[in-house]
Amino acid sequence: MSSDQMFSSLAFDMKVGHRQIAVPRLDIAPGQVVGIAGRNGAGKTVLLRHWMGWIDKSPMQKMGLWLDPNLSMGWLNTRREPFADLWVEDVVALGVKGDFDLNRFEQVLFDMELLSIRHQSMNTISDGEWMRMMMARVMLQEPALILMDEPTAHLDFFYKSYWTKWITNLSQNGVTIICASHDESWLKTTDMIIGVNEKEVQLYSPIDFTFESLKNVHVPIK
Amino acid sequence: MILLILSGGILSILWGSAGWAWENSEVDFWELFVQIRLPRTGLAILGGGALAMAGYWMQLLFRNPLASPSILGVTNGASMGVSFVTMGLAFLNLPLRPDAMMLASLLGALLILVLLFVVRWRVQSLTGLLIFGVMTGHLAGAIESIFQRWTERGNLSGLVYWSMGSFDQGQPSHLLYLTLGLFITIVLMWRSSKALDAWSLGDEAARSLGISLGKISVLLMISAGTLTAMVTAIAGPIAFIGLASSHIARLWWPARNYKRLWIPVLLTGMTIAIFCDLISRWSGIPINAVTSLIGAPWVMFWILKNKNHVF
Repeated sequence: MSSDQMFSSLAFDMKVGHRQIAVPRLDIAPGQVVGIAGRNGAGKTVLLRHWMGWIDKSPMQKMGLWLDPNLSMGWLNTRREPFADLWVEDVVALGVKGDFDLNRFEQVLFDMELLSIRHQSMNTISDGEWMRMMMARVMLQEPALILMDEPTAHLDFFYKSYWTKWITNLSQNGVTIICASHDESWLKTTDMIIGVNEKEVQLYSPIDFTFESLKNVHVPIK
Repeated sequence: MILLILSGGILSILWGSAGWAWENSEVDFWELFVQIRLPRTGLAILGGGALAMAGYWMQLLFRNPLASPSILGVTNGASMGVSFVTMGLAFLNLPLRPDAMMLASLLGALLILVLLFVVRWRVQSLTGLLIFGVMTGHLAGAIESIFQRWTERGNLSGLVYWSMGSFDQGQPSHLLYLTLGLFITIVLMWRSSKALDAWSLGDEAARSLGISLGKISVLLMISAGTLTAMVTAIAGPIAFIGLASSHIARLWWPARNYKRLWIPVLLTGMTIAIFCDLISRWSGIPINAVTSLIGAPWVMFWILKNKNHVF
């Protein structure tokens, strides 16, 4: 799961609505946890989608933004699809790469406390169980870098804590995390913060980061 | 379910408008068996299976449990083609040929399919494509009505009969085409089982697993559209089998992933079609009416039962 290489993303321009935002080169060490902060609509999701390679408008971006073309990336899907009807274990099994390793599969189900609901339809489980199911799927993919878009937005305190422990555990095992979040207290625990504002993307130190420190943030007049 | 299909099939072969096979000594049973009852039974079984798979694939494509083969307007396109040919042949004072009707039906369905195929690249939203399909269906229906209005009264009856749907036009060559179509599309989709499961989780989840959204959606559309076009061309527009089969299959089969669910869906479609055909023959009610009489209450019941959750 881990990698010894530095992950480097090229500088590029991204379009968010009618705005053009310059994104600087990014170098992340294996195991680092990087938070993305910004107001709603600032472009956090667009930035993540660029890094996942889902927006490919220019020839450079088609080649990939990451210097390592073999970089294995995972995406923690948090969007619930209302009509999906797979069993929990079917969803987790989608993360299996190559030959099916039953022992590893069972171990991940056990680790994520999914054994009791493995044959339950995914649309009958709670948000917390959904999150654990998606975590298990990502774990089976064994990515070196995991991207997430506000994964704790619908979770209660218990599952937020569960998720934080999972992130810490992954990080200690050398997996790099990039996560967009509105949770200032969690952002302060990260190794680096990428602030997205109206005009640019800047890197911030978590120690002195506050949402007010993001430049050009649109503040409504009272 | 296989036993049900077999018993329905045997019943369908032994019993028909000429009565039970052993009762009527005036009719050569072997001739009746080869030329009428076997093709009809085969068409009902294969056609039902094809419509069920087409419906299941469309529900997967649009991630909507109420999608059905007619939702993309393919059925309306087929009807439009038949109406056009009926009108044209009447205008030219030529006799109405069943093979011409079938060819026109196929071309009409393919016309809509090609249109949707082109539009798929411009309209990224599935909801947008769904609405486009429904609108295309309305448009084709309107053109069909105009063609019908211009059709000579003498030829209109054949058109009305075709639009009621029936498996009695089945011929051995039809069975061969349908078997081939069903086999090829099922193999293609079976090879994409994992992609179909990932697709059902939404665009982001599918892409994160390396699934090509364009490829899988085009595959679903072509497979579902082709089977719908083939069945409609041979048997006329038949409602509800495509809509209800996957939901009924879920009632008696627990597994939910594509690899384990497609066979129950196929068998369910075959069973519904063979028994609806038997009811149709027994009662004299057109099969489209029989499937609607069974299917519509089913959808109503299903919506009422799942008022808060779709599944």
